[in-house]
Amino acid sequence: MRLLLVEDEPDLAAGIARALRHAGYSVDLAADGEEGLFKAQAVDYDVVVLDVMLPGRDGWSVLETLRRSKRTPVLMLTARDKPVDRVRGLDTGADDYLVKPFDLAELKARIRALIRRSANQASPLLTIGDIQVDQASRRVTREGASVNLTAREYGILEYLALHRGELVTRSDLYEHVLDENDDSLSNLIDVHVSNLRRKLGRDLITTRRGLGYCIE
Amino acid sequence: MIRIRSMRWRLQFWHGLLLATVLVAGGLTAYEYARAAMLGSTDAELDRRVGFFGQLLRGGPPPLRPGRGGPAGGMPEGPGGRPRMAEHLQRALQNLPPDEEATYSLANSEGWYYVVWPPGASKAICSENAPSDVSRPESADLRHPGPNHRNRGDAREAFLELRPGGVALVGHVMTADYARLHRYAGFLAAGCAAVLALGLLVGRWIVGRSLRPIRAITEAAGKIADGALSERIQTSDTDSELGTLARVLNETFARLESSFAQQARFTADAAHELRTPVSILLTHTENALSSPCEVADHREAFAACQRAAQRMRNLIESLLVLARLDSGQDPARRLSVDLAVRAAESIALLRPLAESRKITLTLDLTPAPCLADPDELDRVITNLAANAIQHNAEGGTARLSTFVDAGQACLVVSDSGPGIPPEHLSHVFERFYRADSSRSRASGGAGLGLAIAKAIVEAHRGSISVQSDPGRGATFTVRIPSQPRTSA
Repeated sequence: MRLLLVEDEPDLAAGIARALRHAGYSVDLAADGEEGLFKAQAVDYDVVVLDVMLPGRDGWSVLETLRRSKRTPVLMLTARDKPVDRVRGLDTGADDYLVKPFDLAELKARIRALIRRSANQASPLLTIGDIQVDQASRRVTREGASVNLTAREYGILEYLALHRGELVTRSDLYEHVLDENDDSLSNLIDVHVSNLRRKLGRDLITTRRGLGYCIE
Repeated sequence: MIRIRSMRWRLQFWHGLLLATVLVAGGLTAYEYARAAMLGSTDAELDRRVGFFGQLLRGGPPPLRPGRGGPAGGMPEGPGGRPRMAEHLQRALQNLPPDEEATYSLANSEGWYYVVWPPGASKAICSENAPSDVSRPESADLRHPGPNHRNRGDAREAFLELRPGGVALVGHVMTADYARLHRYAGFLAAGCAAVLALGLLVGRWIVGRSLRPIRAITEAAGKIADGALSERIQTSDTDSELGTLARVLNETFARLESSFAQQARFTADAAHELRTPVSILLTHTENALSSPCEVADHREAFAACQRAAQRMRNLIESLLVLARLDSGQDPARRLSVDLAVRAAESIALLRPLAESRKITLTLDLTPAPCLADPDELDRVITNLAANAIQHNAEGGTARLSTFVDAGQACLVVSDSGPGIPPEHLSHVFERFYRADSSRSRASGGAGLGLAIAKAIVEAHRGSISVQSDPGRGATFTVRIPSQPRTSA
């Protein structure tokens, strides 16, 4: 899953980004409103975490402009906790609202919920045949036995599982699973997918030659 | 509430008491007057009647035996004079004029009677309706030549000596008159009671009406005490003293409310300012605790935590300065200082910051003596100069000058930055106010620097002002009186 974090406090942005990366997300950073808006419009992020108070263009304006073109789930992050601010945020098109100071655990849980909701998934548990993907703990089991996956492998599996039955192109995977800092070698995805097949069974992921991947 | 009731009842009590006293005094006076008038008219009537008897019986000797007259103008005398006198009386009384006769008849219920004791005779001559127990007045009571009066039971009697030795007495039974008087007294009492009751009712209405603002005041004050600070006393009565009181109280409440609101906003803003550094602390400590990171990561986290803590320390320091200035506990340390010297020292500390931002500092310092707290003055100069450096365009200039103008030490700080938009100009000295509504990291502070500068300058009875043309920088001017108190 690929996230965009728009936050002007460098220390806070670094801390949150590290926590999210540690949780297995690919995280892009933007330090002001203009940069945030540009990135959010250019890339299909799974979730945008948007601070309200930003130099230049503030969070409200970014959200409003973004909503004209994208339906990306947006979590507003702000020091304003008056109900009128929350209402304004939600009415402008924010999907969730978190007031500073917050718990990282809560931020992560809310991001997971947003991703689940955008994939029309009510439960954090994804089941594909005898394979279970627990999004809360990021663990995968096959026939009840735990399977060890790297963060990238997990990301690809989770993305495919959330879009089950749909065709997922390589560029989709590049966009959602890798971040701007990743060295995007063209066959990186193929390597991860073949690793997944080795660990979880050959039939799990089908390849549509020249198009992409799919979990039936 | 109890207080109002007691006041209300006290007013009513005294009002009622006063009214009752006046009514009782008036009623008693009227009663006494009526009684005296009644007695007076009865006595006059008795006098007239007994006088009539006197005239009748004295009016010349009856010609019993023609040719044998007694001494002129007197009663018949001689050894047989007294029996003759009695006879004369008897006759005279039997031949009373008809209206007098009617007065003393049994048929008349007005209660007039007469008793005449002829001289020498043992038996009195009475009217038919005369009570049997009328005693002959003692000779001591007959000293006055005119009619004398006495009360006998319910009857009033007037008597007159008939020379020689006789007594005529006319009495009047007063029962009916007293009954009339009592009836009058009853009417009087009822009238007074009615007036008293009406007076009490009207008084109650008036007292209630004039005390109504107090109830409104009490209710409003109670609601305000319960926390409804926007509550006001509702009173249309603005002319009375209580109306004035209500207006004064309303003004007080309004000032209290605005000061509470200001306080609440200040607290909220302060808490708000703490959110970001606390978020940074929480994020980095959670990260560090949840993962066995490398030493480099930990160092980075520690550095971030330190920066956050420093920010909080600065904020706390600023808040404490403001709280101290607000409380007015001014130690009033007033030393003779030169604004130019303070400015030069403060600027020396800011040079590294200016160099890092490539700002050229221009100083034009001429001596400007004033009485001030040098530390606080330094804070003002530093805040203004740091603003001029931080809000400047990179490579710009910041200009500082001090001089004396109209008995005031002046400090002017100007920059070549983007300036302050006109809509923000009037707010820049407000606490936590930032011209950029989003927090600008470049400007650093919490938006308290100018508020602190203003508070300090005003504590020195000086003034601070700002002018700015967008795009052409901002100019702050501080003026501090050279003398602590100009001749007031």
